[in-house]
Amino acid sequence: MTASEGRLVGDLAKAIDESDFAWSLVLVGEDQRDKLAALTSDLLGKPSTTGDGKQITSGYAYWGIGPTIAWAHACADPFYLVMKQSLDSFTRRWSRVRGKVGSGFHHVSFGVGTGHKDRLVLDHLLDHNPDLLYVPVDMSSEMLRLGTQQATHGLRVRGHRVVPVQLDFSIPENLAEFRDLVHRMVGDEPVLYSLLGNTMANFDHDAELLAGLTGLVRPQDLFLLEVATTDALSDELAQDAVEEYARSRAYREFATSALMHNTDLTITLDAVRFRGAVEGDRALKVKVVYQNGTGGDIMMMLPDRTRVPFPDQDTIRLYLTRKYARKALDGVVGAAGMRKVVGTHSDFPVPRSAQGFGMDLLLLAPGGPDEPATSGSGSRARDIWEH
Amino acid sequence: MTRVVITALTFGALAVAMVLGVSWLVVSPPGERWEPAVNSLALLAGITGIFAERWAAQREQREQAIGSIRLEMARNRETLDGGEFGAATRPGRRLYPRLIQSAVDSAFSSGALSPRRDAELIDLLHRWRSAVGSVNRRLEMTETLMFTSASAEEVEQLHRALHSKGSFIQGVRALLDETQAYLGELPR
Repeated sequence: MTASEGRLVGDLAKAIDESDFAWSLVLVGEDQRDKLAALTSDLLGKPSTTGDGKQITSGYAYWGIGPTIAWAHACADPFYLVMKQSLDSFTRRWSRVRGKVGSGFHHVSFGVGTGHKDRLVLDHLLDHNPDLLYVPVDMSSEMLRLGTQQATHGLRVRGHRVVPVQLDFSIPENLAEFRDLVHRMVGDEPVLYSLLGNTMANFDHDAELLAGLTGLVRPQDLFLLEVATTDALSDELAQDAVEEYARSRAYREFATSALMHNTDLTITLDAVRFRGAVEGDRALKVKVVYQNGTGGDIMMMLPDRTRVPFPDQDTIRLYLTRKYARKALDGVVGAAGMRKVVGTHSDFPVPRSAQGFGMDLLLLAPGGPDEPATSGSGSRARDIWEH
Repeated sequence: MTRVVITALTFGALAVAMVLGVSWLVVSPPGERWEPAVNSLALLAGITGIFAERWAAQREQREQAIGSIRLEMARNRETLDGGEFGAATRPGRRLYPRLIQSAVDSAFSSGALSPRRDAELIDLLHRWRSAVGSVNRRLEMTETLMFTSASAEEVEQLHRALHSKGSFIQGVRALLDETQAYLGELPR
């Protein structure tokens, strides 16, 4: 970097730090036209009554200011138990885990959410590293703005040390580029990566997503993972899980907001259906779908102004979530090449809520049971075969 | 240089003959125009025939190259799905089968693929060649270690690393999926 370029970056950092205006420096990693085309393509799926055709994939549910505001409202809804309990209990669970995080860590947060949890994490990390870099990553620039403002409000983190990145982190090529970016910014200093709020459960290929994200972790780094859990798996419990989401009107409004903002459908909340099932021996799965129950075919306009049929009884999958079997968590973590440093569990002590539902917060380090981190010869094997 | 001169001479001569033939047709008396007309048409057929033959030959060569690549990818798929790379394989010293890339190399060296029409395929195949070279080199290193310096424990670790979720092999599988999907979409 030349002296003039260095001065420009320095002046920009100074302007952001000293201004009363709420500047935020956002790195946009993808062409947003491609994302809109992908969303349109996802809405062109074949007719299905089970939510396996047309869909709004994770990330797009929060894309745009409308869904972002709907999300913020849903999080404040006392009937949306999963989120309420998750937020309420995070302080306690984080306090049990944070002692294992050493000093000098930077923070990279995937799926920034409301920013409440990142704020607690940052508050602790700043005590040990006042110069830390905070890098929230999300597909939605609106979510980034909302989340980072909450996450950094009142903390002594300087504006230019907050680098929000707008990126779809479910795409492996994006992650490869992002890894280079992070490593360039932090050098050899350790990073605490986090995937909180049961975000992992929203992806079709959740295990691959986790493996991709943990692929960023170097030996000196740590990974904080929060997932919703269940003590047992059964069809009855899957229905209980459905109940948790179905109770909240604000949650239904959030789930349909992406559809409302990207199509010309007249949305009725009664058309939102919840389908619960057991996913093998690893999780309870809940699909939130929008079903055409009008008795006739509807023509739906997509963002590119094409009109497609939305036949009677056809569905659009709005949201996907899971509650992982606690017994299966070690396997999930191990398959991502990680080992558990420490983990905490918090039950939902709420009447009518199914017994055994809760949230688990896991602090992970690289090297699973399959790949011992301290073995010299094991390291040689990894050096040859690591992708 | 010689090729350029010969091409210039051939097409120059044909062009001049064509011009003369047409001039002959124009200046001939009405009753004597059959011969220059036949002469001009024969020359036109000769010129267009050269290009038509070239186009057909190039097309045939491209189809043969893509067909060979399809077969080679199917062979590589069998190799990757086979016993040595399967998850159920028991750890132990062994020689691994190699991935092959001769059809891809041949397609590149023969110039059967058009940089204008097949830019995406060429890029994909370059990535594939690089991945195959890399995986074969890693297999050589693994075998060398297994048969020379590795203990039984390390043989097991090498086996596990090769079959792990983050293994280089998984990336090669994904690239093979992508390449086969692309080839499958090309018209046969």
